[in-house]
Amino acid sequence: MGTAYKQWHEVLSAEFFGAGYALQSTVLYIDDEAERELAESYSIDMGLAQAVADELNWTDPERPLFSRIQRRCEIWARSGAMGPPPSLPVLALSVLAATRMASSDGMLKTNFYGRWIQLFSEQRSTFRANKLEHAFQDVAVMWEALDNWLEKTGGLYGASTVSTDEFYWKIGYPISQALVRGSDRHALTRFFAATRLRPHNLDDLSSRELLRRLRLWTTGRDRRLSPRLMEELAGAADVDNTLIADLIKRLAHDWDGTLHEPERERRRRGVGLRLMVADRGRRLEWLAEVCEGISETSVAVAGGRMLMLCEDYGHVYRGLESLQPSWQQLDHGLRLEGEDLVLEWGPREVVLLRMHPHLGEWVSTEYFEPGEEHWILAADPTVGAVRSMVSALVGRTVREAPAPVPGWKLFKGVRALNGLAFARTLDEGGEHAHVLEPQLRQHAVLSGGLRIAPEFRIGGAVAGHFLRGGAPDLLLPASASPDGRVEVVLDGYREKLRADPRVPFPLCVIPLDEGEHRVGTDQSSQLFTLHDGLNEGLPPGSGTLGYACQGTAQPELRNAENLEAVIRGAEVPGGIRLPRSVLVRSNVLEAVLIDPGGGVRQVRQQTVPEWMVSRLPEDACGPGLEVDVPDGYVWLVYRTPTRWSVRTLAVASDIPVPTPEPDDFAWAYAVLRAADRCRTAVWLEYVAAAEAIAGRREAR
Amino acid sequence: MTDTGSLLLRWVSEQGAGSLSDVKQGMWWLAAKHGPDIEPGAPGRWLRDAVSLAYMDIDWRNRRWCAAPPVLTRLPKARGLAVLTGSRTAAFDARLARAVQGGLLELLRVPSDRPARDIPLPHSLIIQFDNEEGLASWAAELGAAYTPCFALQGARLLPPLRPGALTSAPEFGKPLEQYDLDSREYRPVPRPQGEGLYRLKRRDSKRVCQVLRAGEWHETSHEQGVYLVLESRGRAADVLRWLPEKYCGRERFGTLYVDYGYPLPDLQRRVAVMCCGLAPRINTQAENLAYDNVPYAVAAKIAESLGQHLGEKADD
Repeated sequence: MGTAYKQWHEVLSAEFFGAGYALQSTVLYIDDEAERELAESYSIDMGLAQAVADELNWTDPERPLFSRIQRRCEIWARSGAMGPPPSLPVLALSVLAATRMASSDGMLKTNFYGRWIQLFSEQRSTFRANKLEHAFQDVAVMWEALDNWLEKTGGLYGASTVSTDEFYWKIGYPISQALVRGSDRHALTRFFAATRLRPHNLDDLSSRELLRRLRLWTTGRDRRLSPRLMEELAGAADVDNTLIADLIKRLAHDWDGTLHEPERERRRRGVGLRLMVADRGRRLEWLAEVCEGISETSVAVAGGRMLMLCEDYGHVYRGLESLQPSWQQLDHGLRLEGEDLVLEWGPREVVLLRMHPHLGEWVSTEYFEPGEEHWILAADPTVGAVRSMVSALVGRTVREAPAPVPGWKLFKGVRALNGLAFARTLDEGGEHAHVLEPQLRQHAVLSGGLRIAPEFRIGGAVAGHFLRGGAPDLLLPASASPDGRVEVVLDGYREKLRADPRVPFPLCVIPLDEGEHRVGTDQSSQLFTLHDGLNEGLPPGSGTLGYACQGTAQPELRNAENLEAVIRGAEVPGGIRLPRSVLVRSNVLEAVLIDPGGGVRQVRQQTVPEWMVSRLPEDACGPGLEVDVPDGYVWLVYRTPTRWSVRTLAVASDIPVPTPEPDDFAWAYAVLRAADRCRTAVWLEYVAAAEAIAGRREAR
Repeated sequence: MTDTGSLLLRWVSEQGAGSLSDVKQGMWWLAAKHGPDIEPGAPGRWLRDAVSLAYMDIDWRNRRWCAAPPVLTRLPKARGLAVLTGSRTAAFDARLARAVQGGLLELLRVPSDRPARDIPLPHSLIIQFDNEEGLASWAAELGAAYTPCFALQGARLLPPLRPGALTSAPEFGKPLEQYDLDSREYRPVPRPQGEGLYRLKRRDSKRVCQVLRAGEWHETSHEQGVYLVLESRGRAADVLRWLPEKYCGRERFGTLYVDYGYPLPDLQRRVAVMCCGLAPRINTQAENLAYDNVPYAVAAKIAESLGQHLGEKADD
């Protein structure tokens, strides 16, 4: 191996796989400028291309073109693969070829091999050019070896960003390194922070979703991404496995939450600011989610005051309340910097907001959830376009209100309940249609639904248990098919059901039996169960709150499990005596209550109350008499259209013997009316007493 | 089971207990499926009605709830009607269906009207009975508790109005709102403006109410706070009105009217609602809620417990 080749190997090893790259994404980016700078700073006399060319085997037809380097690589692998592989200069040269891909010199911008051959100063379509092209298969193998080595060393020398796609798999490797320059990686860490990606992409955002957000982030703004990357972004097909999509996902996966700022000794964390519309749209606040490991810190407005931040409820920082969002901040963006943290708001004209689950306020969000309610904060110049866009969703009328910042308007109640109208609105596009874009997923996910027994879900293979009738929505993975639709598979049946993955698929409209169900696509599915109920008795937790009673109830609820006297629901402690009442379910024309001592009490007639007539079914308003029974009364004598009747108001053994006065004629009269309507001994005693009074009266 | 209200009641019943944010999220999801006009405040209103109808107990301050045990209780002077309320699990519904099929019970499922902006309530289960002993035994067979008449019993247990525990003054410089009784809404104020009901955000982001009385700050709920402020204003600030029924024999029964902006606390509301077993009627034009079949004695107890004097005319 020549001296120059060795020098380049050492330089490339130090520059791209040094200790500073441990656990971070590393990109072997070499363009003409980088090559020149490295050669100058390390005093290498020979260019990279020449150093590699000197290692090629043009003389021995029995051996491959890269046989010398391959041999070195074999030895390197056998001896424990210490340090970066000897193929590094070859790989770097292939990246250099990829960075030169452009429509010039009679070559198309897609022509990699032309540039590769050109680097070796060979003419196209010659024997040597063909040999170089065919030998690139061995270079691809070297790329794979580099990728494997980076993986095996567990990030000690950096995290691999080596990627390719199926079609151009050989040349994809160097192109993957040429797409993202060092400056792009710096900018991409700002993007990851701004889009509130969790470190190492813990939420597993799909590569397409990341691309969608990156496109949004770069729309209309110079984010200092290289023209090559911007070009690739613009031209990338909307599918998962493109080179750029894979690469961005890999970078996201490796991102540790810090901003790429080599000039700073302490690597700062970056988080995108959110905008919160509080108090039903009357107040605006900045909001930042807490960075893991930074519970207290400070940030400052550029050239302004310091803000002390500390962790608060809902996993957000307290301390930003005094920084009132102004229209200038919304228009031009806001950057708050501290020693540990950078908070940034990128300017935008239309802001999508969703209800924060913990804070109960409307907070800016990255994607639309069809079915859920959103608010949209729109700058005045965009109001017309936003208005027509949300009206196209064909839902409930969206309410417009002034925003708590001049020059902006709030659209409240934006929902997409009509799947067809929603898909049509997205398809029609428009300047601000991107705010209605739902998240692009790579797996089927269940959302919403009426979950029961959440404790059973933990650690299980089942995505959730749901009440029958409250089956969740199915969020489908993004489609790669030309019609953009996805085939839904439910319990093994596909029934030719194709659905738009942008619209949640409502499983609750399908009559499903109790038990397990698997739903999704061929590639990705979820298992869930449906039940009418899980408890024979009262479920745990029922009745655990109540109003403690000590004479009267306490005004506040408390744990009721150990309380003796408590109001729980409509259950009250015993001991409260109520007037006794008796009911006669007939058309009672007149009625009296009778006591043993000759007392008679007329019962007043009652009409059916108006509330019963207006609010209850007719069946409930039938004839009937409800009588409150004061203490001492033991018989109710009443008349219906056909006869007189008597009803006992106490247990027979508790009814005292009658003791009327001789002149209690009304009493006797009442008893005798129903004399033959009861044959119990105690009633007959009352009848006898009544007859005695009546007899005396007749005698008089 | 197809109706939204019954499905939601079964859902909370099967869960037993939980956090308020989770239950609101589920309600919102289901409501969005069935009603395009449902408004953001609908889950909160549904939950308040569910508390009134004794389906649930909710500790608003600590954001937790539990399903209430099933209870069978008579309605006062309602011609032999009782209401079956509380938890309604699938097993309970199955027992009830068997009892109805077997002729044990005469059951009426009665809806409570709600506007399109609200989530539908479960149908009230009204039971016709002939005698109280029979009612108690039905309750036992269904696995429900028997309360002879919650409206009358609960009214006797209503606590008197008093400010809650002493607490600290609102933090200077933090957002603060004062309740304006005339406009019936909270309005931002830079600092406390004398005695009154205030709302502020606690450290855990929960909005809480505090009342300033005699120079001291007390914890309170919004509902209690409103009546504490009204109490300090004397007779001129009486807001509850009770109107008797016009028909023969029912002069001591009537309708309790509560204007928007002066909501009854949970327990008082439950007592009023359990007089007829149905959610209060919403009079949108008159901007009040009407609680039917409230005996005067019960209305007076409710008023007394809130430091109010009961007006006897709806237009007092």
